[in-house]
Amino acid sequence: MKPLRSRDVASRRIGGKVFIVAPGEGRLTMLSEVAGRIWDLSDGTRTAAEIAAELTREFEVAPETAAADTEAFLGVLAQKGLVQ
Amino acid sequence: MSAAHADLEALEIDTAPRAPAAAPAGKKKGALLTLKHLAERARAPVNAFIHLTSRCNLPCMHCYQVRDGTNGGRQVGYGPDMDTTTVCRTIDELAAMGSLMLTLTGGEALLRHDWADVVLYARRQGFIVRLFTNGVLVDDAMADRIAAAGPHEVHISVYGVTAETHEAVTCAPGSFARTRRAVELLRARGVPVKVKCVVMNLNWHEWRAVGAWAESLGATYQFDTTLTAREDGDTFPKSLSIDDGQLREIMAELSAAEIAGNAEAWFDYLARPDDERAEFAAQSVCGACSTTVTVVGDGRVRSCQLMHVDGGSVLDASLPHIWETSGWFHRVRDITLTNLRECKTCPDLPFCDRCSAMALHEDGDELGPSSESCRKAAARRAVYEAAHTAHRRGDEKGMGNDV
Repeated sequence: MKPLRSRDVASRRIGGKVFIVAPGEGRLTMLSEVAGRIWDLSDGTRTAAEIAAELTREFEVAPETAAADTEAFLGVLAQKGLVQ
Repeated sequence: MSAAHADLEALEIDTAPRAPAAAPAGKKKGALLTLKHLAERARAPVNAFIHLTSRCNLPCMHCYQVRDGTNGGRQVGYGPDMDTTTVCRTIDELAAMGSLMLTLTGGEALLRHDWADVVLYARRQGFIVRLFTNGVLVDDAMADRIAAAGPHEVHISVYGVTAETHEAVTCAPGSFARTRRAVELLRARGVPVKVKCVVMNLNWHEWRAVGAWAESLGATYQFDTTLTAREDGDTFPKSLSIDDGQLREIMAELSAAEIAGNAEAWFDYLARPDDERAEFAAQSVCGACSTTVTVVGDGRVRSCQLMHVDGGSVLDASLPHIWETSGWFHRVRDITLTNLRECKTCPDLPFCDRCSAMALHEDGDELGPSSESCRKAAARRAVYEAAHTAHRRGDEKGMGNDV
């Protein structure tokens, strides 16, 4: 499965940070650097494993940690309906 | 790296950055403030306004817009509306510039045939979309269309809880029932609605009831006391302002805590050494063409909602080009605390939300004081001092009891 950001989510990268507003919530949320990168990479062209692999190239992080954190964060996003 | 990075800070949307920024940086916390600071640093127009049309179906007493006229030899008024392609291109450009919050307004935005397409397009481009309307055109079918288009919030202007009061402002018989019905229809469909009320001497006796009515429908509400001269310089709207006593009363009721917080941040700032104050004093005093921009119905680009001076037109140049090269925009960005003529040493500075647009349009100098801002600052000081006097009396009374 290749996670894809919901088109109903308002989001923008500003000054290096990603801000999102979930549909129907009316709450502004700021993502951390890593979470923002996972958000950017969730464009429907990569699997979670491929996103984690990209993170290991961009950040100083062990592959297994990147994989676990990517899965966890995508799980949160999916639960909230922010990725498909 | 850890999943803890994904723990998110959240704030209610308050899409309008305070203009000017009254409190020195670092005194408030939250995602919204971080967004504002990052946007200031990147000079991203995070909070953008597009007037879908300048046409309107209500001739409200206090409106600043002028269909056709002159001001000091300068022509004022509006040309034909931008076409859909131009509006969508402008939205694309705003997205690329880092804009996140887009307000679609007018005139009356719903007069434009493609408003729903524009709302959907902006949402697809990742914007938080607000739609401003007077609600007059909203019947069941229109409410369905709004709900389907899915703006994040709809703002509707309501000036009273009786037809007599509301229509004394709108000058349109029947508008009260239609506007009120619009709020009810949208709330019934779960659309987030904010009821907005400009408080004037025409509706002073009903503003509290407007808030209570909005609350009863699950709508939020917001009051404003700002009235500005018309674009042709006619100051008639100012004659509708509430008096100083009423201003103090509404401020004490709605914003005493905010006044105290801002004032104390300023007192703290002013007590710092000169070198520590220099950085803040060199920043633009407000978000005009720094974190906000307005494109009016015929495509002209302005630094904010209130500054009626054009930086260019999206019909002639790209928005980023105007944003970067407009001489007027550079001049507005240079309005810093350091450059203000009198305000920088004013004792009411901690209570002031000075507006450069009002200083220019009503007092003739964008670097000088705004008489309306001065009036409001004096009211805020009175509210602050009254609260502190009451607080001191309470302390003294408490100590006496203890003894």
